[in-house]
Amino acid sequence: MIWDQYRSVMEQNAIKTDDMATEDAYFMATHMPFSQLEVYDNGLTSQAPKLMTEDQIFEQLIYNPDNQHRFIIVRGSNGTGKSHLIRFLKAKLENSPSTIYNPATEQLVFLRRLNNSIRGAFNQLLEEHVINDSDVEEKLKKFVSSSTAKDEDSFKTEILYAYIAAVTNDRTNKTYKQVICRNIAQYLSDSRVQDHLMREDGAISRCYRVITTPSSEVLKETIIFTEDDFNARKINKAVLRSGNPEAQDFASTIQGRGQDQENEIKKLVAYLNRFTRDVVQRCADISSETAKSVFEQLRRDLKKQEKNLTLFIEDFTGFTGIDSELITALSVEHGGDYDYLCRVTAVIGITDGYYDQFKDNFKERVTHQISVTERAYGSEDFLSQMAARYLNAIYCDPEALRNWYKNGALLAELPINHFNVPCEWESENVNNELLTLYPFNKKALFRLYESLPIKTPRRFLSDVIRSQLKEYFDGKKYQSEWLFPLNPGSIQMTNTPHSSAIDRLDSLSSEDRDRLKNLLAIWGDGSASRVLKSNTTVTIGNLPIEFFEDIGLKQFQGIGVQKTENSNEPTTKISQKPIPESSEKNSINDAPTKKEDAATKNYKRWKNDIASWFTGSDLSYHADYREWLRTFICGTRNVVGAINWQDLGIPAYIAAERLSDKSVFYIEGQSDPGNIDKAIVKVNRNADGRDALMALLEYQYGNSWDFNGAIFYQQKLITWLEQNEANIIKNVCGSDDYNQQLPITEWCLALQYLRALILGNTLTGSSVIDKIKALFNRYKRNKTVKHASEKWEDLISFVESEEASFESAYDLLTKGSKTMMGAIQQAKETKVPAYKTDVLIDDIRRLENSHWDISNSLPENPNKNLLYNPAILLKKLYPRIAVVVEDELKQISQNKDVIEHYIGHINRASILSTINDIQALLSAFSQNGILGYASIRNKYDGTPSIIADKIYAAITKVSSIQDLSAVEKLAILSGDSSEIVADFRKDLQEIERIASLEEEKANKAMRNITGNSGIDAMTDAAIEQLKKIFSRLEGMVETNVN
Amino acid sequence: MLTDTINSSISAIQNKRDAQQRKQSIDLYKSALLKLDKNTKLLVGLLDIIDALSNSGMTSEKPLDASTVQDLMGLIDRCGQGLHDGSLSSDIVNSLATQIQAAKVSLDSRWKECAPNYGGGAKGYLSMIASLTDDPRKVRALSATIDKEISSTPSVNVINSLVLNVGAANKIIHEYSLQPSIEIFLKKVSSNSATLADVTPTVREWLKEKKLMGKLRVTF
Repeated sequence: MIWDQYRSVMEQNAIKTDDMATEDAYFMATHMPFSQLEVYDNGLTSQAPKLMTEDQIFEQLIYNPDNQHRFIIVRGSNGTGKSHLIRFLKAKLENSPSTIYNPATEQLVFLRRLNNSIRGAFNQLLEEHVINDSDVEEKLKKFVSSSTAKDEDSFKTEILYAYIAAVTNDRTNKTYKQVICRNIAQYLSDSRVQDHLMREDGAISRCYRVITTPSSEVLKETIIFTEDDFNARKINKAVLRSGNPEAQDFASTIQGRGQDQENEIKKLVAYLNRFTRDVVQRCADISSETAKSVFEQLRRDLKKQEKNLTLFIEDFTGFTGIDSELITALSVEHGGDYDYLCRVTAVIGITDGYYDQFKDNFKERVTHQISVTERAYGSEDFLSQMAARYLNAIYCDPEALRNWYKNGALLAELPINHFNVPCEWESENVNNELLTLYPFNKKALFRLYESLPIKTPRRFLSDVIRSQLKEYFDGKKYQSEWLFPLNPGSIQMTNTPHSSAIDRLDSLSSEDRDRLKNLLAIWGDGSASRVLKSNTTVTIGNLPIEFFEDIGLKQFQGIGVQKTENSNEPTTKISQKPIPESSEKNSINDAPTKKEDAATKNYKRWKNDIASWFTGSDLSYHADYREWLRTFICGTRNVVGAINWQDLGIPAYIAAERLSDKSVFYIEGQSDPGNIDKAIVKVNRNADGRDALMALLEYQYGNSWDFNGAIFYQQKLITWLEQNEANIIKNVCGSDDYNQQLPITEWCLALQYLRALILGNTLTGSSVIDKIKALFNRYKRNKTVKHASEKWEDLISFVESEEASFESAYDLLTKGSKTMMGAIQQAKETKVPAYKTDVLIDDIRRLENSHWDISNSLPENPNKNLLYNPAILLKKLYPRIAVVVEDELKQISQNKDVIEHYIGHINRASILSTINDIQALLSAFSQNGILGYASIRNKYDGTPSIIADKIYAAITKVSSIQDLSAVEKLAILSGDSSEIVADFRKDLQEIERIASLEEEKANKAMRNITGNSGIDAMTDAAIEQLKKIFSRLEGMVETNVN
Repeated sequence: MLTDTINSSISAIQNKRDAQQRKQSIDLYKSALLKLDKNTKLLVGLLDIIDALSNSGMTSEKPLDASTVQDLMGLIDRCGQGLHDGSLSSDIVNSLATQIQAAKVSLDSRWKECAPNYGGGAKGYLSMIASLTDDPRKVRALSATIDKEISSTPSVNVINSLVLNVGAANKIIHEYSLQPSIEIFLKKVSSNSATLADVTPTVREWLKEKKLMGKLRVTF
């Protein structure tokens, strides 16, 4: 089973996840020399780099006959080939003659990336016997074993507390003052915060994985904490509410949605990430000094042995925790004060992101940088050369390849595969040998590479070559359930009509149709045109017809009539031009053009989006398509909509309102799930739906229907509309026929009626027409009417809060009842005073017959849309009205009880008598200079009989409604009767209060008045005095007489 | 029932109004009573002075004429009537006060007439002989006191004091038993107008008898 062998070789040898685990023979057989490596002579990047091949780098930097100190960084993004380069350099050094590499004088240490974890990195140090310090060795052994042995929770807790300890002990006052550090430590110690950080995707779990967990993922930079770890508002709120005061202090700085809070969180994240190194050291129980001694001791020992050190570290990210110490130990140049250290040539693989974290002083210690950029691998030639080498290795006999390696692995002697290509196919010249690219071609390789989200050789190998080949091999092996070729980037055929035609091929399964389109889009020229290139060679989409047969698509014979091409070019030469069959303007080649305007870019983007959606992806730009759909169906001021609502007898207002919200346009599979239940216009994910969207796109791009292929798209769009029009109309109207529609007018009239009553408005008019006119008014709250019941106020609040819905119902009533409907875009402007009066009269009569209570006839589960909104509102209102009326009557009953308490049995005479008494009291007040009580005076200043009649009438009115329906009661209670009763009760209470108050005042004043004590005694004394005086004067008179 | 409350309130308000009116009357009566008390005290004082003056013998005439006394009696009677029936008003008391003032004016006038007559002679003799006495300062002081009392407002104390002081002055004057010629001589000496020609033998004899020769000096 050759296909099994191919697949096994590919997965086990040629393209492994971790290319460093690749067998040496395959490594050498597939090695693709780098030629455009950027080399800097220091750790900075301010100067332009030199471009060097990997051989030049070896000769100039790795081979070090002069024993110069070299600290070389190989950097690039993940998967760019750093490890590959380092491994190549190491292998080349190892295989070099003793004049270049002599094991007797040169110690070669190679630290691979194992398991992509810190534990794996530390384990490497132990296995390579790099550590000569027994104490350090013991500690690292303990760490490596304990990180495996410990249960996850306790290790995570240890990690968290290591961070907390690091923050607590931060006395630098640099990022945060010490007091804030204490607050942060308390915040991190809060149990809720701890739980959040230790959640599955939390920072501590991340750190745990980075340290311990073997992973196929390449270890990223040590970004442990992220903003998500502190954006947990609920947790922060909980801390603020019941946390430790210091934790509260800190939580208050990061709680909120402002820019300040965001900046605070960023600052915290950066701050905590800085401690990751300390945390790893703490967990491993090693100090900075002991970590530094790892390489220092090695260099000392090598110096004693008169040996030098060449060190290759594949991925330095794994050494987080002791990385800065290792760098320090390695970057010290031998000689002078450091004569006890051996020379070192260190080649260290490091990611760009990690390098950016380097402290500046470390950058200064770097003697050379080798930057592996896309320049080194991103060209089309590089990719096809690389693919050819890997395909050759996969197709070759493994034994032959291993023998080749054993025999020196000379490129000139590289075994060539004997893969049986079914047709003439593209190949690559490698060392003067043609290596087939089958089943790829250059166009496919490059397009697939371009569609990668991260464009690196590793991704190219794993996500393009290996993924596609796996499906190809499986397809060939099983000859059924073909999945090849995959289309991860959703590359679409440029010829949409052909694509559409393929979608309708019943002879193919949907999977095969997709495969076919993928093939034509990625491998072919974007069309499915069948062309006779010579007497014997037939191509479809510029691909040999045998290729289709080879991958199980034999039955497809192309779209359209076979054309003949007068060309002598071989079929393996892929034409770069699309078949000029589709529109000139709209036929946009997917190949990037240099001068591409914004409209074209958008066109491509939308087109790819629609095509991807059709194959199962989410529809990203659905908002645009839904807008186009709305324009298509509703029209614009200049263009009539696709559905003639007037002819259908549907009020344009209703159609306009129902279709005004873009969310009612729903496209199956749109990225925003929306609410399918609300959908009025639905586009299904099928060929018709796709064609309709494509038609709208083409129209949008062409800005008219004047383009080549317009007829095709118009036909598709009309087809789609015809299929969906009935459903759209049904959804707009709420029924199949607007004339047998929902009783919307009746609902709206009932709503208007109830609204008017609730808001205290009086509906005048006795004739039906008068009532209709009255109900066509807009009602606001009558503030002069007040109600005893608080629930009535609540009901008014409810009505006011639902004003938009009432207004919507009002518009439905007034605009929907018009006889002239107009076109949608003009609907809002019409002011035609002609209404369907007969309908309105019938509705009014029906409502009157049901005493305006139609709660029983409302739909049980009305949809939430414009048409059903009145019914929904009525369903909310009726129960509320019943409650309010009940409460109002209860209040009235209580008021009457109170009134009876004050005036006795309620009748006109007792009320009149009471009014007379009140007036007498007020008169007594006036006569005795008692001022105030103006409101009572004003209210009861008048003819007593008139006042009494008014009160008695109100009481009588509200007392005689027990047997009426709730709405009828509402009608009576909506007036001022209940208010008059309530006021009278309040007035009686108030009058009792003021009468008692003034009585009390009078009595108190009187008590103060009776203060005449002593007057009688004084009078008696005065009389006695006067008697004596009188006697003396009398004596004088007698004397005078004498 | 509200009616009861209202009626009760109205009743209380009316009662209060009545009480207020009563209080007003009492206040007026009390005010008149207090004013009457003040005036009766004034009148008692006035009667005491009249009694003192009558008893001093300074004058043989009554200090107040009969009509004034009659008026006072009439007003006292009216006030007494007012006290009796509670109708005493400020008006009546004011009338009494006016009459008391009139009586006082009348008494003062009588005093101004009789007091100088009563004490003036003694005072003059004391002035003449003061320097001839053994204690001229004391005599002069006595003379000054009499002079002051004569010009004072009459009171019981002033009257009694004047009576005593005039008695003392008369005693001193009596010791010098002055004949008319001697009295003339002494008056001239007092007015610094005496000449040697005035020193008559009678005078020389009187001087020798009273051992006053050494006390007279001749100046130019």
